[in-house]
Amino acid sequence: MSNAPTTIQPPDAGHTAHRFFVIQELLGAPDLARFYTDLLINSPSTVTAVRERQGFSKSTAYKYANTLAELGVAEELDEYEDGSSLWRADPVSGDWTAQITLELGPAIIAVYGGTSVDDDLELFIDRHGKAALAPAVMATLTYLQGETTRRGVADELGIPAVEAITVTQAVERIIAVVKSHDPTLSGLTFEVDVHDRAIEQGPYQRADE
Amino acid sequence: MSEAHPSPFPTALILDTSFLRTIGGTGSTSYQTFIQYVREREIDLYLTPGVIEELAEQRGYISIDWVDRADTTAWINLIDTVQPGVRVHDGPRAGEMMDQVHERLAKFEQTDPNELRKTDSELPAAGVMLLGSTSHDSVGVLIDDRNAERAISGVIGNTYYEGRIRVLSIWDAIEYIES
Repeated sequence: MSNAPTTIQPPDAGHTAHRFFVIQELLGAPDLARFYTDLLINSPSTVTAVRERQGFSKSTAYKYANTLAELGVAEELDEYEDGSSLWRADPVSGDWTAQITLELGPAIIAVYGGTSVDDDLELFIDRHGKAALAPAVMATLTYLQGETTRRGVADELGIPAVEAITVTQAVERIIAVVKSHDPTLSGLTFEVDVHDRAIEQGPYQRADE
Repeated sequence: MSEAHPSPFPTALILDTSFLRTIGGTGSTSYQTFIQYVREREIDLYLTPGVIEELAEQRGYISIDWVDRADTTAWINLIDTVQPGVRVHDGPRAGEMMDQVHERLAKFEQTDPNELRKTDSELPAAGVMLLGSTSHDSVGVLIDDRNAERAISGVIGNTYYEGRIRVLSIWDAIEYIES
């Protein structure tokens, strides 16, 4: 038996590690993140409804639903709509701390999910890399809280104004839909309303609106 | 803030980069609706020097070359420079308007005014210039930035230019045009 001191893990370490891997999985698979986000904002919903809204094939949609169930962030309910099972997704979030603390939650997962269908977001990460999208989301939140202009975001991120305008427009229409489902944004008050017409151009729509 | 009901619609419009981004290209319904309205009503469109500069570095995010179109059409106009000394009636000079918006934005952004770009503050100043140098009775600024709108509208308010330089939100404008 080793004499090395035993590291005692806090009781929720396993749960925290699990959330870390779930978030990592979602951030690395934009289509899965998009499926998760659509299910989250429209829960409960059938897999068929999600796939119709997001344009997935039947087999891909069920594969993603089962993946989310295995990850522990979605479950099939014992309820039905038009003969199909209803599913529910739950928000997943956590903090990543290095020099600063990044709060990762459904909004940032939704934006990464949006990169698979939004040309502007795709172009942005082509130019600046996937990691650049996280500060862009943070800066858009600052804009929505009424604390900077879109050109102020350009200065903050060190990018041309047109790129800042583009990325904040793309991100705000996602955040507007996801905000109420993201515990990391629950304390924020937005000064800027995102127009319904702008939201219609985004990748996510609430089925009840 | 911007006007929710932009009627009567101004006969001159200053287009911000954020508006040009949102309205899209020739395949977009918003673009087609806007251009058709502008042509039918003989509205003049203007691009400020700051916007022209941003369009030059737009790197694929705007599908229409608006500067090139300005060279080939009479109804899109490029403003080479904003003349700071222009004023209309007893309104502030264009340069004063620009400085006041710039100060508001610098305070708002908590940034050194010398480091803050002047594209937003140039928009109402260009409006003053158009009121002073053209036959237009009112000028609209079409922008998709609520926080910049607030700074611009705050400076225009209670001056001669209130109601003559009008900050219009893109979606309110488009919905008005569609109606």
